[in-house]
Amino acid sequence: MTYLLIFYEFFKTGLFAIGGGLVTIPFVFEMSGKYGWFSIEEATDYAALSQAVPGAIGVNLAVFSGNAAAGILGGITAGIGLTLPSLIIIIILARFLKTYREHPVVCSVLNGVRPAGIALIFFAAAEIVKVAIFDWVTMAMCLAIIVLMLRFRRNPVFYVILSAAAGLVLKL
Amino acid sequence: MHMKILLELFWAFFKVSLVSYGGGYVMFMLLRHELIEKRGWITEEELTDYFAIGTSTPGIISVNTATFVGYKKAGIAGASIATLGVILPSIIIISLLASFLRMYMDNAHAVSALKGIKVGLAALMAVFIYDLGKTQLRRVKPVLVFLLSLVLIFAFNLHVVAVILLAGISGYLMNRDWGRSK
Repeated sequence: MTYLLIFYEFFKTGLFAIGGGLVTIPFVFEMSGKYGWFSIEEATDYAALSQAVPGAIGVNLAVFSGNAAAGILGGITAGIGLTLPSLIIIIILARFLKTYREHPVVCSVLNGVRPAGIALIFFAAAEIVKVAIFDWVTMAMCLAIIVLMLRFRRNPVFYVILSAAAGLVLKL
Repeated sequence: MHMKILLELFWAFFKVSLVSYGGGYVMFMLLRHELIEKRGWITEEELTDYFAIGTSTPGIISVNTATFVGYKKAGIAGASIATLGVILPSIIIISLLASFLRMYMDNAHAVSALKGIKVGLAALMAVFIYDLGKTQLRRVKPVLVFLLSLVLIFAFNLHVVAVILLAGISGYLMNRDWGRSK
């Protein structure tokens, strides 16, 4: 039964999360409140770890969350549930690729969805800030990383390693 | 012929997924090398197209790209096998890692490092929002949809799927006339 629920929730996530991996984070946060498979803090751990292991962030987050909910099979179920909508939609789209992107109805619906996607990311970021930023040190560190990213734009792996190292040095 | 191309598709995406950290941009560079320069399966324009469509369709961008390329090379079987290649490294690595995770969570150093990574994630998301806002929130209507969505999420606790659906409908209603005038 749990597997069916996991599949359903991640299928829904795959169907409605438009704009890539980070957009799946608010969906997973919502699951934590609804089913108690994991807490928001744990979900934030998974989101952070998803960046630190190889692979697509969204898929990693799904596998971590599914694994927490129901073990290895739960992780596999979540991964497949998340990717199945893409597979179906893209196979259909691939047949009429050119017309799809210029179709006026598709364009206007997407024009509405994109700003809402940014709002969802904003919500997820606020939840992560609540867990991650708990004193002046973490706030200063976060601001420093933002400035570095805007200034230098290096590979995100560099920042994952840098923030892990900073966490160790500052004994967070 | 079919078995060979399916194996090649699987291997190409498995390999890229296995060595790519940190999401979309890195994956894009690696796919470029693997699919265009090394194998000549697609052109530069096609990859850019796939990424643009991947960003504006539901789901994970790298999965969408894999499905496109797989479909182009070997139909539905190709699309499925390429997608499997993308997600299999995540499933293997995380299934192995998750059993160790609880052990490591008692280790003070591991906890500090993870807390650091979470601060980094907060920063990454702030920069991501800034980038998205810079390109997509430049006109009145998108800003309006953005602000209304924030209100619906924060003040009314509306379900994320409901927010997406409402935004899609409002986009359709607001842009209908633009579409016609063009």
